[in-house]
Amino acid sequence: MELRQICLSGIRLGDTRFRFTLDKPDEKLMVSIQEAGIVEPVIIKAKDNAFILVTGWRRVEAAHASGLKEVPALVLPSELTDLDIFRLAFFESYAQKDFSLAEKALIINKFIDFGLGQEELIRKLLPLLALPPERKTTDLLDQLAGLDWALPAIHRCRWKLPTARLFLSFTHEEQKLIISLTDAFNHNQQAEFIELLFTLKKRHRMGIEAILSDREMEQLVRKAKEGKPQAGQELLAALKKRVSPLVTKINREIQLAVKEINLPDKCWLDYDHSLEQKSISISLEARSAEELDLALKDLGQSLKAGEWDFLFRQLSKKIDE
Amino acid sequence: MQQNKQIKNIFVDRQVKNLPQVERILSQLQPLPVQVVDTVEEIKEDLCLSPDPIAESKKVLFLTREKSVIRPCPCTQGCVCCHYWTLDLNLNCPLDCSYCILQAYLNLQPLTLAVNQEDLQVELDTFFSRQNGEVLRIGTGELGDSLALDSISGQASLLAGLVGGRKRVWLELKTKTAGIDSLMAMPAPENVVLAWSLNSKRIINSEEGGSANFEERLRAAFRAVEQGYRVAFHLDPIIYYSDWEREYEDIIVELLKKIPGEALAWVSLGTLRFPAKLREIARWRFPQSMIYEGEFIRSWDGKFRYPRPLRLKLYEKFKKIFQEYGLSHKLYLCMESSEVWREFLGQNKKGKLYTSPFCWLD
Ligand code: SF4
Repeated sequence: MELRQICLSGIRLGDTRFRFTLDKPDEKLMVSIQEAGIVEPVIIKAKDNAFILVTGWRRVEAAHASGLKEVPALVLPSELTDLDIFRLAFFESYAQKDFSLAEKALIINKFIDFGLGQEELIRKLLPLLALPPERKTTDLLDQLAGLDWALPAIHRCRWKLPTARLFLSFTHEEQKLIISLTDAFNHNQQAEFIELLFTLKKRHRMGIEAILSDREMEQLVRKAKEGKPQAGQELLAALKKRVSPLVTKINREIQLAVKEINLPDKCWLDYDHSLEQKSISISLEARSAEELDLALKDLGQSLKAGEWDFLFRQLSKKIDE
Repeated sequence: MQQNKQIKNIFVDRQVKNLPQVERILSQLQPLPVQVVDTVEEIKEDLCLSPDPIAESKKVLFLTREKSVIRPCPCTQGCVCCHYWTLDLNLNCPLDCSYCILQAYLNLQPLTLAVNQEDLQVELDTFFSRQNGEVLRIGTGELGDSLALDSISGQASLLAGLVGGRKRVWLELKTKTAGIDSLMAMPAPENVVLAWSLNSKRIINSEEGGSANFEERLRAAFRAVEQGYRVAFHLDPIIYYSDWEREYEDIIVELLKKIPGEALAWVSLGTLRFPAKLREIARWRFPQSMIYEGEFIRSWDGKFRYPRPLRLKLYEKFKKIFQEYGLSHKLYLCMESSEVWREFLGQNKKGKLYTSPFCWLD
C-alpha cells in the first residue's frame, strides 16, 4: 500500500460501496481533527482518476466539516478485488467497534454483493458478528439492508434481531409509521411497541393504521410524533391494554377494591399485577416498637371495616363470576 | 403417516458403526445415503445452510451412542413437580408441532437415536437397584415422540421388555402417532403405559404437523387397551380460542366413551406455555399459526402463559367433564404453580397431593 496525501475533493463520497458504518462524526472527533488533523491515514481505492473511500468515513466527514483540504491515505494496490477490499475494511473495524444490527445488515449485504459464498458467510462471518450462524439470519439481514431509509433509526435505537424480524413483516407504510415513532421510545420500549403492534395486527387481522385509528390512539400517536414527554409510555400502555384486555380488566377491579380500603398512613399494599399470586403484601413504616404497634393497630382497625374481604374476592375472582 | 419416510440422509457416529443394531437400521432404510462422522457438529454445519434448518434437521437421521440417558424431568422452577424421570434415547422428532419447545432447545440436533442398547440395560438396572420403594414414573417422549421412529429403532418394545414387570415402576411411552405395531406384537406388561397427547381436532390439524389425526390416535389407544395396556392421555397444550369449549368437550367425550376408565392410568392437563425464543422461531416457521397471539402474562419461570384466571377456567371445564364420568381423580396438571394446583384441587385437599399427584398409583 502506498501512503499519499490526497486532495479531499478527489474522493467520491457518493460512492458508498465499501461503507457499512453508520455513526456520524461526534464532537470529540471534530475537536481532535480541528486541533491535530487526521493522524491515522484513511484507506482508499484509486479508480478512473478518482478515489473511493474504503475506511475512515467519519474522519473524512469531520475533515470536510473542518475545512481541511487534504488527508493522509493509504492507496490500495489495484489488483485487489472489491471482495478483498471489503474484507480488509471489515477486519480493520472489527477489532475496534461493536457493530449495531443495522451495520451488521450492511456488512452481510455487501459481502453477498461482492460475491462471498453463503457457506463462508454463515460459518465464518456470522459467528464473528455474534449472530446465529444460519441461512435465515443472512436472509433476514440482507432484506433489512434493503431498507436503507430505515437503517439510521435502527442503528441509533440499537435494535436486536427479533425486533427486526417482526419489523420486516409489516407493510412499507406501516414500517414508515413505526420508524417515525422511534424517538418516542427507549430500546426496550421500542421492541415492546413493535411486538404489541404485531400481535394486534395478527390477532385482529387488520393493518396497524386501523389499530391506531381511534381517537385515543390517534392523539397518543400525534403526541409521540411531536416528541411530547411520556407520550411513548402512554402509547405503550394503551396498546398493552388492548393486547391484554382480561388482565387489564381484573387489575382495574382490584385497584378499585384497593381504593375502597382506608389504608392507614405509612402503610402500603401491593399485589402481583400479573395475577399469578392471589396474595397481597403489606409494608408498614416504623422506626420504633411503639410506632410499629401503632401501625399494626391502625391496620387492624382498617381490617374491621370489611373492605378487605372484597379485595380478596377480587383477587380470587373466577372469570365468569 | 410413516415418519421415517421423510428421512433423506443418515449419519452414523464412528463409535457405533459396527454395532449389529446399526446394521439392522441401515438395512431398513436402504438405499438412503449413509455417512460416517466423528461428531454431530459435522452434520449441523450443513444443516445451518438450509433456509429452514429445523425442518431440515427432521430429515436427517444420526445414529450414535449416549453415555447416560436417565435424567430427572427438568420441571420448571416454581412448578409443582411430578417426580418424573426421562429416558432420553431420542433427540428431536420427525413430527413438526408449531408449539414444540424442541425448536428453541435442540440447536439443530438431527433426529438422533442412541443405539447402544447394552449400556441402556446396565443403566436401567443400576437405576432401579437404587430405587428406595417409592413409585417411579419414567418415560421417553420428553425430547421427541416416543414412537415416531419406532418402526426403525425398535426401542419401544425393547424398553417395554427391559422395564416391564418391575415393581413400583411405570414406563410411559408418549406419542402423537398410531405406530404401536411393535408393542402389539408382545403381551402387554402391566406397568407399561401407552400415552397419547391429544388436542382438539382443529388444533391437531393446524398445529401438529405430521401427526396422526384424533381418530387414528383414539383407534390406536383402543387397540392398546384391547391388548391389555393401560393408557394415558395428555391434553397439552390446551389452546384458548373462540370454539375451545365445544371442540375440547367433543374430543374428551369421544375419548371417555371409547376408553374404559379402568384402563386409564392418568390424564394430564397443561395450557400453552412458551419462552420468548420459541415464539420468535415459531412465528417465523408457522406464519399461519395464531396460537402465539393470545393474551399471555410472563410467569415466574420467564415463560409466557395464559393469565391464571383463564388457565383455571380451562382446567375447570376439563375437570367438570371428567367428573361427569367419575374420572376426575385421574387428572393432574403439568407445569403448574402451586397456586393453580390448590385452586384446581379445592381448598380441602392439601398435603402430599401437591408434590405427588399420583396417589392412586401407590
Ligand atoms: S410430537 Fe412432541 S416432540 Fe414431536 S414435534 Fe410435536 S411436540 Fe415436538
